[in-house]
Amino acid sequence: MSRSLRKGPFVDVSLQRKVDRLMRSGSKQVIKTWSRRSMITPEFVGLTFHVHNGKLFMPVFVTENMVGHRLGEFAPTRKFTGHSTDRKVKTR
Amino acid sequence: MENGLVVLGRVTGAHALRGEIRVRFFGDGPESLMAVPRVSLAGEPESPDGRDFVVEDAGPGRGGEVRMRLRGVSDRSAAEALQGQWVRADVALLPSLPEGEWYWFQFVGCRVEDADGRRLGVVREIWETGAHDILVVEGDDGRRQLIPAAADLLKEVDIEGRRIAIEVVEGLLDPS
Repeated sequence: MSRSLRKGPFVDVSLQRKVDRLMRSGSKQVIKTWSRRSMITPEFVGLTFHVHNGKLFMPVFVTENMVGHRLGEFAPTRKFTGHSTDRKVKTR
Repeated sequence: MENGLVVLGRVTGAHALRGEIRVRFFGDGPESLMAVPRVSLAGEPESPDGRDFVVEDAGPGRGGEVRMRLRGVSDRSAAEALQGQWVRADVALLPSLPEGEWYWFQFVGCRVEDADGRRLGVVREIWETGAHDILVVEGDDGRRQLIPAAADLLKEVDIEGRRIAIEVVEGLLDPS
């Protein structure tokens, strides 16, 4: 069941406070958070978060197409170990 | 790795009666397997020995697989004998990539520097996440840093010079 639009996106208060502080200062400082459940809002775009995955803080650089998803979706809790293969690094 | 072999997949079985093999690919897609003109098959992924084959035909197979016809493998029993073999190809035979894309093996071993040229370490691994990849950079003291491979943070990538320059935003290194 989807969340009511009336409520707006959920962002943990502590995280929103950190984002607001950065927005006011104009800084790009990395924000450390355990709040995997917080939704990515448009004001997060361009910021980098360190999202805890239960063991490590995974760096997540937020881009426009991540808006509406949760921070935790981009900090996997399991590590895939495969072969050195023809996988590609894509920055675009 | 620039002149070595890279594992592209593994033979999962035979297809039909004319010696075609099914290969499960490990990469992002089947393009590389379908493009290489020659492959090397071996029992172990890192084995220095291997049997070289000319690829006569390659096309899409079931989900996650490619069907290949190799010169010298002409019947089903010969194809079945290859089951379990690792399919490798020379990195020089892989298709070139558009701007802004690199193969993982090109990144591994590159030294990472900040915008001022200060050495941060060497890329040891790359992790895939739901967003961008993450470079695992090992410093001279053995400590590992996680750097997001996002276009805004990768300022310069010089594969020939084995060097990657990144923008270090405040708090990116040593989060714990």
